[in-house]
Amino acid sequence: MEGKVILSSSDGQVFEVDMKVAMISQTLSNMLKDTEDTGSETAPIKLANVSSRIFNLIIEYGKYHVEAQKSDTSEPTADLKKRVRELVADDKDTLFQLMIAANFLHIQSLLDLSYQIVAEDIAACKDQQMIRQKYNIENDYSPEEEEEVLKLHNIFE
Amino acid sequence: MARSSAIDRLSALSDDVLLNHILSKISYRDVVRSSLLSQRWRLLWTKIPRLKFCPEDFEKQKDGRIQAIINNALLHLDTRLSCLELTVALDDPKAAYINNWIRLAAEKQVERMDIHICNRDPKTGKRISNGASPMMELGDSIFSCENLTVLTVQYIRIPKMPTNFGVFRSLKALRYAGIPNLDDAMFEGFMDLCPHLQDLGILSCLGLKNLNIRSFNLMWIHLGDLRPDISLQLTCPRLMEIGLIDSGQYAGLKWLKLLQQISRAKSVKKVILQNYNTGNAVNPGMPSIIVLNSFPGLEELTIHGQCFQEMISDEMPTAEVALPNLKM
Repeated sequence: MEGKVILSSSDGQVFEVDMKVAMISQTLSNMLKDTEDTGSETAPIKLANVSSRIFNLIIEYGKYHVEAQKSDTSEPTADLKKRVRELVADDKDTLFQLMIAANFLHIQSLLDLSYQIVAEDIAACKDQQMIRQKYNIENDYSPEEEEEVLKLHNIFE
Repeated sequence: MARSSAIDRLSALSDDVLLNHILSKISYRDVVRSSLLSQRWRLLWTKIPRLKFCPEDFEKQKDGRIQAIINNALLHLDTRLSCLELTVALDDPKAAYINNWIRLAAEKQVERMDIHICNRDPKTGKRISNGASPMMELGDSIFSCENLTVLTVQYIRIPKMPTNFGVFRSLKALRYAGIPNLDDAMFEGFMDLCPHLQDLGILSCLGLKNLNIRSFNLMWIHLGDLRPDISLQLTCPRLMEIGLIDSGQYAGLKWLKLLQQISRAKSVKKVILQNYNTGNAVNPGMPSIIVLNSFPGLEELTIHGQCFQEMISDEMPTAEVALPNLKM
């Protein structure tokens, strides 16, 4: 599929996106195939759940993804993961919004990479306090409960 | 830019995402640590359906601790175990440990299991290469894992089967690597327990001399690094794919011998020959002719390796059958 596709974000910004880039989204790909079949005029497709800020990142990712498919990098996934980390710039909120958008748009590779990044970041934290801090997790254990979970946890240390 | 920085988006993810896409990607130690975070996380670690242990998880621990940790992981599990990967290096592997782990896994209705127990160097804590495998035995708790669909056992003795055992009804894939005591009778006996087996792999099992594979549902066979003088007999009406892997320098010659023993198998569509050793080279035409004669239904022949002389496609013999997907 060649050409451009017109999309608009939840805050009304209009984007002209390369068809190849748009096709990495299973959701868009299905929609575009439908409009192609009916031959109807392509009005901008409204993405009600994706803000322009996140959509810009998704388009960047899409370009990397299309590029990676063309070139024979030895480790395409590792390279893409690095790119996603750059896009997110260690902002957890951006990472989760990207994850939600990838889920909505059915971009499996981006969804998997965002899970992978969360997993790696959790593993990299030195203790539970650091995880709580990074992800705004509230410690709602009572002191007695906390002692109990610590005790259970210690049998695995 | 508006930021909702105080929202805990991680804990808001569904159990499915947290278990199958996030906790499944970190070490078991980190999975257990997640229980310390908050109420949301208190029991999540006990619901993780895949347990994976590797020697790096236990580098600083003594054998007794390793045994206790794996036991506790299995005891606290509050879900069916879809997969248990146990690659464990111990100073002094004890059969009782392994038997107990497998018994607990059986209680959790384990479906896929990959067992690889090896020795480690007590000084460095590093595992000793596969070749220096212990004469460990799996223990007969393996026969209580009735839900197994995939079983991989590496470098460990397998037990004699009990006389009163039924069958592994669900077992679809069985892979043996470096099983020191696997002989012809034991192999055939075990195969009789797996009537629905589709996928069989046998690597480096040098006790096999007359390999007789009779299996109605078998579709994929991969054989690697077996004795050079092995005799092979296949009775597998649904077989689709045969892969021969060899790391030795006489691979080409070994394959010639093996392929010659396979009588016409019409169902086979794909043959794979793999070798990465430069050694005594063989003219690629020879095994090709035999392959074509043995497998009249062949659609795809893949050859990776350096044990063949120049692999130029026009040296291929004229085929009586079409090979539309021929890859070299």
